[in-house]
This record gives sequence, C-alpha cells and structure tokens, in this order.
Amino acid sequence: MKKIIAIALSLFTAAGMYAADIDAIISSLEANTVYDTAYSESTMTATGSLGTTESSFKSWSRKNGDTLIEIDKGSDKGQKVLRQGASIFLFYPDAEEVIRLQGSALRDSLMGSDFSYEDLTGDDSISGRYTGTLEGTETVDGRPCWHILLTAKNSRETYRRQEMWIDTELNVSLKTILYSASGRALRELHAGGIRKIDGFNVATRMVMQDLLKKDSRTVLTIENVAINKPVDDKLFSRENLTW
Amino acid sequence: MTGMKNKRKQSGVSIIPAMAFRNLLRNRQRTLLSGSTIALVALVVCLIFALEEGAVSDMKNNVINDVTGNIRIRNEKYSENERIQPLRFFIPETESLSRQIEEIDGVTGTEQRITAAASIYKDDKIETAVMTGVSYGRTRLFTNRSTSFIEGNSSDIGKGQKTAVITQTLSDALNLHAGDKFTFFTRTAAGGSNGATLTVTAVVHLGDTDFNSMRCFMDWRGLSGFLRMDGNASEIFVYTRENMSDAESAGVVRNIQSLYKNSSAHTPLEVLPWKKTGSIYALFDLIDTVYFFIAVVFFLLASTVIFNTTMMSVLERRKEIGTLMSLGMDKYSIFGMILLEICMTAGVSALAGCAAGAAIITVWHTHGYNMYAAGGSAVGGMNLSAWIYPSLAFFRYVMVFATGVCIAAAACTVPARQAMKVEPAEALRTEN
Repeated sequence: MKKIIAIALSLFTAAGMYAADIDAIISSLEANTVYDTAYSESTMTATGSLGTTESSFKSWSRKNGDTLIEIDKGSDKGQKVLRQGASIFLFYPDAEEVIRLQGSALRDSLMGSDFSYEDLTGDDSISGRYTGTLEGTETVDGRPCWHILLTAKNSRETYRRQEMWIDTELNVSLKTILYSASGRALRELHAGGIRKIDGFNVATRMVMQDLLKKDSRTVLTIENVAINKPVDDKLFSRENLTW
Repeated sequence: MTGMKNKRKQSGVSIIPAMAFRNLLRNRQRTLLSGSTIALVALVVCLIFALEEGAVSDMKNNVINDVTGNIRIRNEKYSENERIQPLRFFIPETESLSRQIEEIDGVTGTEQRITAAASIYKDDKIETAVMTGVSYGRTRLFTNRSTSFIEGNSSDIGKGQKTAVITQTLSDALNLHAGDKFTFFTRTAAGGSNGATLTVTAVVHLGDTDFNSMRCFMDWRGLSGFLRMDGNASEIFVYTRENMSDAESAGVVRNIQSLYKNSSAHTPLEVLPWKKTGSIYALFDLIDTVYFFIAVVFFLLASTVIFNTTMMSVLERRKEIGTLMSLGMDKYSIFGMILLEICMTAGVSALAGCAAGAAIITVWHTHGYNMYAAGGSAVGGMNLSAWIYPSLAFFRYVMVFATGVCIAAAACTVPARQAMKVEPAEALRTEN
C-alpha cells in the first residue's frame, strides 16, 4: 500500500514544474514519497475472465518499508500481510503457522487482484534502487508529464525496469509500466482522482492491469488516508500477526 | 478300374496320419526345433496378451474408480477453463444433487471431488502439491488392491476436517509423518488465497500410481470451505451397477440431466459417461489392435523357422517322396502328408505353449506382476497400478492356438507344393 501511496503522493512544488534533469525529477518525486508513517483504508474490485471480486483492507506503513495489511471485507476477511524488508509474512486465521514468502513470490497476486505484494508493500525509495533517464515530455490524460525510465541497480529488485509518466505540476505518476528482468511488461498502473490530503497530492483511484492476463484489471479506491500520524511499532512485528 | 483307384486312394489317405506321425519321429531334433519355436511363441504371445489385458483392465478400473466414476458431472464452464483451475465453477447444490442422483435406478453411489494446486509449507520450506478433496467413506482410492498404508491405517483417515492423508512422495519431500502438522495455502474460488494447518493421519502409497505424486487428500467438505466454494464440489463421480451397457448408461445420463434442468440451480452441467471424458478409451481399443499385430509378427517370425525346417525336410526326402509317388500315392496326398506333419507339430506345440502360459498367468493373477519393476513408469499419466493382476480370457487362448497352427500351416504350403512337383523317375535317380 505504501508503494501505491508513494506513487500517488507527491508534493505540489513549483520546482517540480521546471525540473528538466532526471535527478531533480526523481528527487522531487521521492520528496513526496518519503514520509514517516501512512495509514489508509481502501476498497478493491478485481475483474478477470472468471468474474469480479470485491474486498476492502486497512494498511499501515512506515519509513523503512515495513507494511501491514489487514483484510476486513471480502472472501479473504481476517487475513493479514506483513512486509518486513525483503520478506512477506502471511497470516491465515485457520493456519497455525505464519507463511513466509520471498523472492519472485513477491510478484504474486494479492487477494486475486492485479496488484502484487510488491506493489502494495515495501520500500518506496527510487534513487537508491534505480538509475533514471529522462525520455522526454508527453501528455497523459491531458496532463503534461515527464516520461522517465528507471533501471534497477540491483538484480534482486522485483521489477528490473519501470517506466513512469510523472505529472510535471502535481509530481504524481499518472502512468507506470513495470517490467521483468527479461524486459517483458508485467503490469500497467493508471492513477487518477487526485485530491489534496494533509498537504499531499493523493491519487485516490488507481487502475492496475496485469499484462500477462487477458481481460484483467483491478480498481483500487482509497477511501481514507492519514499521513505522518503516529503508528504503533508493534503493528509491524510477526507476533502481532497472530493476535 | 475307377473303383480300384478310389479304393487305393482311400487306403493311401487312411495311412497318411500314421506316415506323418512316423516322419515326425524320424528326425526328432528337427521336429523339436519346429515345435519349440511354435510353443515358445505361443507362450510369449499368451503372456503379452495377458499383460495387455491385465494392464488395460487395471487402467479402466482406475479411471472409473479414481478419475471419473462411471459417469462424471462437472460445471460446463469448469471443463472449458480446466487449464486454469477454475474453482469458482463448482457444481451448485452438490450434496442435494448427489442425493437425488443416488435414487436413480442403476446408480450405486456418488463421490464428490475437488482438485486444487496448493503450496505446502513446513519449516520455511515450500513444496508445490495437489490438494484433493475426497469423500472418505465413498472414495475407492484407498481401497485399491495395490494401495498400501506406509503409516497409519484406513481407520485413521477422515477423522475431522483438519486432517489429511499424504502420499509417500510428499512425506519424503517434507519429512512429514503421521501425527505431524503442516500448513497449506492455495488460491481460492473467489480469486484470493487461503491457508490452513492440517494434521497428517496417514501416509499412503496408492495403487493408482498417477496419484502418487506430491499429493494430499482431505475431506472434500473441509476443502470446499477453505476454497470458498460454499460447500460444493468441482466434480461428482456417479457409480453405476457393474456390466451396465452403453445404452443403459446413456439412460442414466439423461435422467441426471433432467434432474438438474428441473432444479433451481440453472448452471449448465456437463454429464459424461467415462468413455467420453477423454481420449484414454480410444487408446484402449488401439492397444488391443497393436498387440494383435505384435502377436502376428511373432508368429510370422516363427513361421520362417517352420518354412526352413519343412523345406529342408522336403529336399532331403525327395527320393522317398518319389518312391511314394511311384507306388501310387498322388501329389495331393503328399501335400496333405507334409501339411499334416506341420499341423500336428504346431498343434501339440501351440497347446503346450498355451498350457505353460496359462500356468504362469495363473501365478501372476494370484500374486500380481510388478509393472514398475518392469519399466511401467514409462506409461505414467495412464492411471496404471504398480502391481497388476494379468489374466487371459479363454477365447484368447483359442485364438493364440488357432493362429499358431494356421500360420505354421501357411508357412509349410510352399515346401509342400515343392514336394508335389517331385518327378518320381528323376527323384529315384538321385543319391538321397
């Protein structure tokens, strides 16, 4: 969730409007994504070839990328997902063990949606993990955007390449394409419904498409967001999962 | 004059069997060579047919008992999307429909089944496996003659919804034993995921070897709950009384179709007799044909030995044949005598071969034949049991016997015709 908020949240700065070099664009974007804590309540509607499912969840995250997602509505109600570093821990009410996922499993779907664990959890920083190049300016949804290309510095990154179209005024990525190590486009994210909340520009409606699936899309709507408000550190412990 | 000739002919014909028998004993080594060839081929063909019959019968039983029932019911959309494990296309009102089906004349029982790919988690180790939801009291998986319980026993299975029976392969992979717990997680019918912890009650080596991969069995109602299938199953297997004809089976299919068409659940269901659920039945017919041709090839090879020994015999006995012809035996009697020699040899030998085959097949049928030790793993995916119990129908023995005699007789026609062409005067002038 933090990742999505990171993509969606940007500071509305005049500097961003005129930033023409890649470092300045990334710094501006990162400035919007670096926050101490975030809490959100969201609903998700996943549509695929087999039908539509709806769910809702709460999400807590903190600066180092630790994230907790608690599903409170839908068929997966009661389940929890904890992100700690490069690991995901899954709690199922009927399971006595907490399941740990790592590596490529982070690209697996969350709640049967087009969002992966990686998309909704983890570290948001860009400059430390990716090298960027400015590809030019383009218009997305009628808005002027910087088109940038990010290449992972580390082969362990879930997405080895990312393409972003960042609104030059709002510093929100309106469109993002995520690629695998082989250069194959895996997912495409469109952000919209941008509202100013707690001084941040927040994209409250995101549409993710898993490009490897036919006729598949997930709409995520953020109903409520709180940024930089105190969050109990215990939330991010494995012990808390089973309580 | 004509009457005397006929009398002589009749007299010649009557001594032909005795002469043929005497000729067989004159060169016993050659007779033994011809006879042993036919006997060996008859034996081998009997054994091949028995193994084929045993294997096909075993596969048919396993397909019906473990994979489809006599009639298989599915949601139509499940079959259309089978490749992507479409659990959401279950059979609505599974239990109610099953009860109604059991009341149809000719139906002896039903079994509910769910199959789902899952990840098994134990001590930070994840293995991919297949979760199979079964009706413990109804499934025939664990009552197969070749099924063995490595740990636990049949009375231990099905005690509670959070218990599982696992295969020996899964047990070895995760070091799981009876009494141990493990957690599985899988994609649900609703598209999300779910997991649960189960206790192993038994470790089995199943008779149907296709089920011996990384597989875990649990009560289908429990699995249906975990998979958010609202207490329904993906498949219903319908068992009918034994030896039901295809026409009767089609009648049961029609009755089942009318049941769900009249029900409140308007989901189109696929109701198929087991023979139409896949290509395996057509394969069984093909196997029969292939094995028949293999048997013919064996006999044709044996016929080359018969041909050679008979031809040698005719060439060596040219003077004798010439003498017989000069004494009044006509060429057809000569032909008949040689043919009879081979038919007697082939008849006795084929009978001996079939008798030896029957003895071995009886032992196999009683104690079983280990197909896997004989390389049967090469036919994985065909629901073959590790141990099969070969048998051979009586008409097959008759067929082997008749084929052996006929092919031997056909093989000796050329040498016998050579004998018919012997000129008595010329033959009497030769040295031998």
